[in-house]
Amino acid sequence: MAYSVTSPAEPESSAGLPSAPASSGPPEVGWRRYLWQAFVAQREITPLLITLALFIFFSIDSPNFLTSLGLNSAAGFAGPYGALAVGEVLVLVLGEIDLSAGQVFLFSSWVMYWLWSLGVPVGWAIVCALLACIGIGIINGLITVYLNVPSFVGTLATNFVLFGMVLIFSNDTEATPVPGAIPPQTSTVVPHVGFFGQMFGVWEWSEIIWVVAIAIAVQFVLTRTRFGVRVISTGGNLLGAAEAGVPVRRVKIMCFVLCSFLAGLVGIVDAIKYGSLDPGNPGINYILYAVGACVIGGTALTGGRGTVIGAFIGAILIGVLEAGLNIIGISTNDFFVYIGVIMIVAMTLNGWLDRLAARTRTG
Amino acid sequence: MMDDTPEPVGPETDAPKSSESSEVVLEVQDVTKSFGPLSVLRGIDLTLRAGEVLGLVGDNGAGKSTLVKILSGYSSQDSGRLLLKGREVHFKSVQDAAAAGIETVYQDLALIPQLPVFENLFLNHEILHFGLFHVLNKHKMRELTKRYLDDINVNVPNVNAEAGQLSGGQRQAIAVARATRTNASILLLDEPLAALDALTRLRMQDLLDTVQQEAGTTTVLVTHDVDEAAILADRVLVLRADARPGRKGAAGIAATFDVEIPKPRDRGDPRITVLRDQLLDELGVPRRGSASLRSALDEEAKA
Repeated sequence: MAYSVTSPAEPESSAGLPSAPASSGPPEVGWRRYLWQAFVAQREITPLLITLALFIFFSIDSPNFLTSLGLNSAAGFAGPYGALAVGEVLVLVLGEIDLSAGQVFLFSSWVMYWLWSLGVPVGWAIVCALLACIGIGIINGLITVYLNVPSFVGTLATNFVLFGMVLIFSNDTEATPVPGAIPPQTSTVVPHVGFFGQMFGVWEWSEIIWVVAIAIAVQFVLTRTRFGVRVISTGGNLLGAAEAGVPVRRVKIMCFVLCSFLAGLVGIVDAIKYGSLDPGNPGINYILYAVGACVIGGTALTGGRGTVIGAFIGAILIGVLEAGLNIIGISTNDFFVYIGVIMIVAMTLNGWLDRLAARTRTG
Repeated sequence: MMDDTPEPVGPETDAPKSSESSEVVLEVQDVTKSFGPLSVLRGIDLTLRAGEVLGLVGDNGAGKSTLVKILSGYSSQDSGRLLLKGREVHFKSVQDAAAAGIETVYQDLALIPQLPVFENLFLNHEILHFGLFHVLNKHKMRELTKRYLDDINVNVPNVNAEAGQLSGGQRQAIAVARATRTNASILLLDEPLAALDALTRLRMQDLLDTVQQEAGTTTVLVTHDVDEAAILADRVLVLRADARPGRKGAAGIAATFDVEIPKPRDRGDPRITVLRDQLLDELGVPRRGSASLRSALDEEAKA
């Protein structure tokens, strides 16, 4: 006896047939339908198309955009946003948010510079700074999980605490690396600095390389590992995941730790790349762009869904827009208007594609 | 064993029958649980015998789901003991209970809408490529999901479909399949069919009955539906929230019914009707009241 457990509205005979013809979407048969399904199922499509459109527009409008300077400028903007966005996706998939990651991005490099100036070898200074970031992530996680403070509030508070600490201990004085310790940034690989130093910010492309590598790694973790399944479960159905035995509290804390760690890591690379650190620079600006990149990239703030690649593309989009507007000579004030409009357009298109994908899948 | 006499069952004492020869796999002894000032379980005792389906019916607030959450390791009792095959156990987590062979299907469906069917089926029991990085072996999970769902005759459109896109019945079937897939020695079903429409609920009852009969899994079925208990359970305990003379506390087992009707049971069997009425009586649900309600509804429909 076969039990066809189907929806009441669904004819029993159709159960178990995965390839029922789709009733929506222009192409109806064969490879075109397959391509259409693949197209609408990808949440990264919208930001990718917008980024390509902007790229083409700026390339045509200004020949300077496609030069090394122009691309480097775009990468310079996109790097920090991308690094923060990639870590933030993990927290957003949980249905939480980490508003302190932008400040951690600046705090880690400040800790490193401070220890370095005290005579601690640079390698150990970096390790200590990263441990501090892990500690901040643990605190964020514990506040959210055990004190039941909404992560929006808890991490906002952490953000202010970190900002204040840096201002107090630095006496609001700009930090610089130990003179002569790091050669000035150049456009080519500097022969006197080893691979480690090159990859930790001396080489101008090192930051974006880090971000790409981190994005690929985190995307792999989110989609291909047990931890990723646990993150999606915790964000998708907290009670259900807990009842199924997923250690939801530990998963949440781990995501806050990873978010802080990744922000701190790229923060150090970024600080070495630019060779200085302004303690008065508020990190909250960075995280708002990063959350914007996540949203543009197709990550829902409701939890359970997120794409790291999409967030990375979202960050590239913001970087291209910011650099492009600079290069073609439009006021940076306009940038804020453009980015706001693009966020709304991207979100609307994402929602439309989601509905289309669902209709296509269910036929 | 009951034949055609319309007196198949009857309320008995709380104590397990001494004549019962089946092995006792789980004992709950004097378990209490309070949430702040609210005492939900006060001195619950019950035994679960190997291979039986134990139905728990009762009022809202009688502590049925709380009891299941304690048995499943989701929460712990304030006092009292749990004995698994005669040995006292302390479940600190759902994993502890799962390791002891206890799996649960909850009324709120522990499925993750955003995950595909096969990942839901293996949630927290994933098959991995490498131990170190916990990389999922999705290919194997998909294959085993297809095979297992075929084995228990559950059809879903596609094992790659997200659980959120399935119908209520399909989701429930996946939840049941997940619990039974692990070869659990004890299956806890907490209102597993409560959210389903009537027709799907009947189908799912048949599915549960078949899966349980084939595997012989010892099962605790918590339900509001006395018909469901009458169709599926070998023994039914009635839990009441109000105080009763001679009982241990506010919430306790009011009566036990042994159901000796062979399976699979016919829903039209008069003995099922008798049992249902006895359960309703024990729960304090006035049958006349139900008839009055029906006639009132009929009159409203006519108006």
